[in-house]
Amino acid sequence: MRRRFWALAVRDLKLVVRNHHLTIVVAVAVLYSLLVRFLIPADPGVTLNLVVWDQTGARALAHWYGEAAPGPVLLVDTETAYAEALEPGNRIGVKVIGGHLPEAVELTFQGHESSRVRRVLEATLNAQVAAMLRGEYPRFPVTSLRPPGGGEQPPFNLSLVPVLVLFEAAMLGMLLAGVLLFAEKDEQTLRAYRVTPGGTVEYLLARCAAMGMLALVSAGLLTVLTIGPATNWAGILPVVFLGSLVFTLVAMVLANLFKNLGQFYLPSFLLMLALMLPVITYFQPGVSLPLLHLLPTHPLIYALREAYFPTGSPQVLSRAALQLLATFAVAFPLAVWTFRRQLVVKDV
Amino acid sequence: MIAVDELYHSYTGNGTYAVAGIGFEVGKGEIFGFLGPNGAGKSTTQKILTGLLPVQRGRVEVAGHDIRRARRELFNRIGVSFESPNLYRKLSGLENLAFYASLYDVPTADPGELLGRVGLADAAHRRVGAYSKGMQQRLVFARSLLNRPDIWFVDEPTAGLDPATTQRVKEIIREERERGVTVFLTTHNMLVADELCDRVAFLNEGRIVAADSPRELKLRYGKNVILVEHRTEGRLVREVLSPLVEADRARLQRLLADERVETLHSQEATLEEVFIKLAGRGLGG
Repeated sequence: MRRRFWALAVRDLKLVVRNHHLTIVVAVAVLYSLLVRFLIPADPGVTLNLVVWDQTGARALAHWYGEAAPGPVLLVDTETAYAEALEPGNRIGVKVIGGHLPEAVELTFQGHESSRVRRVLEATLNAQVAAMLRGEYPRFPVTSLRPPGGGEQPPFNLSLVPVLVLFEAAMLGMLLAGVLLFAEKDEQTLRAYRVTPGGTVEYLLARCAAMGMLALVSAGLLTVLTIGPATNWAGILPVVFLGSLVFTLVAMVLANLFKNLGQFYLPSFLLMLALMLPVITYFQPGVSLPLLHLLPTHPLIYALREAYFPTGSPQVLSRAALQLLATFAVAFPLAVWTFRRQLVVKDV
Repeated sequence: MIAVDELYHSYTGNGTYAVAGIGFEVGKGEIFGFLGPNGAGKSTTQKILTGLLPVQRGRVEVAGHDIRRARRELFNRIGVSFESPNLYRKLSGLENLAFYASLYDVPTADPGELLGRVGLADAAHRRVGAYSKGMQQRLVFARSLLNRPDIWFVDEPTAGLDPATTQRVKEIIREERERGVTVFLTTHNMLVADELCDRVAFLNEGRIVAADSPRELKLRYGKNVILVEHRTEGRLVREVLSPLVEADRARLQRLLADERVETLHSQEATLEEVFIKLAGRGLGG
């Protein structure tokens, strides 16, 4: 069985290379890396482009904005300059009204700003103006709940790496496994395989292994080009491999339900979208959808995050590995059963 | 080596059978031709015998194994040459054979040697996608011999081949028979069957309508006469004479003695004519 397994896996890898699947995987990994490194900002925080016209005698807010406030601020002195500065369409006007001290602030938005941006600006101005009027700056007690170095937020662009690895490396197996299976159906090579001593178990295991290898290549490349070579490989590679095994099996079961690749594309794409739903909770931790916990991608994405950006919770990795192994253990007999049924009863 | 009894198979499940209660036996070292037009049930039967389709009703034994419980041991002993060129087109001819060879638990033939045997040595390292249809057919044929099978299922082995290659393929089938291999030959080419088979079974609409050696079938259903062409008084004359009739025998001897005979043709039936007689339709359709 071991000899057959290796023969099947080597055959799959040859087909992957000769069908240019490896080229596609490498190209996509490089493309994602370029996006992460050069296009997606490290800090996409709220950036306010302000035009400040402080009409008060003290011009306290103008001074503060000019000296201390973060972000690009344009200070103007006339109504014409204020109106002209607002014309380009991406600036927010801050008109400070009052005598010597500020009495009111009038904000002019462009209309496309999010409510989050509006609230941040209003809160900042309220606090700042109130502090100035009292002649003091607000002081709030701030407590860090995680020790320094143990839970720092990764830069935004790098925080995308676990998602991209999940999508590109682990779930890629789904699509490519389907493509390979339909090529075999088309060439009728499965029929030739079935009159040899080769069995379904080694066939599926070999396909999983080949897709797993491809996933490792993809994840390795993406990681080296974004995070760098010094990372937690012992955490990343096993979960990527296990994830790939599960998704390859899912693809093999799904592909059995359809006659050709054209029919397979849409359902597999929709399934991939559904499997990517845990990404919502990854970016919006406040969102709690218990159903998402049932998807194998849920433990996988959090394990990848822990592997790339450790928070001192290695159990996330081991728990995810166990969950993926359990999923594989359930999915494998199902895949064998559907595969045999499809091949023998329907003679595909 | 092959025993089939009361075998039925339906694709529709509504009482329409592609194979309807057939039975036959094939002995060791025999070339058994399974003949019939397209849709007669040949391929369905072969698929059942090779485990590609389940046995719905009836009994099938191949090499002493009940095909319902066929396991690795059986698949190590059979070879199947498909009619369609079901090969990995992105792999070379040699890689295709090497891959399939690695699936067997028994000693296998050398893939390079097999390629040489079917005249593909020069194309061994070329991808199968670049092979002509005939070359692909030969590769499928070679693949079925990888495990040196005891029972060899060969489906339309000469379809689409040129005369020289057809001859080579027929020689290989005879060589394998000499080695003691049992050959189950599925074809609608009556000339190939007549030339190669020890016994044939005619299949029509899922039923076997006759089974015997080609010679016996031709004798039984053909005309036992001789067409004689001779020149008499400057004219070409054709006469049909029976060697079983005393007067005809005497007439033939006279013609031969007078040295007037130009051609003699045995008028035994071809297998195709026998089939038409039995099934009421030809083998082409």
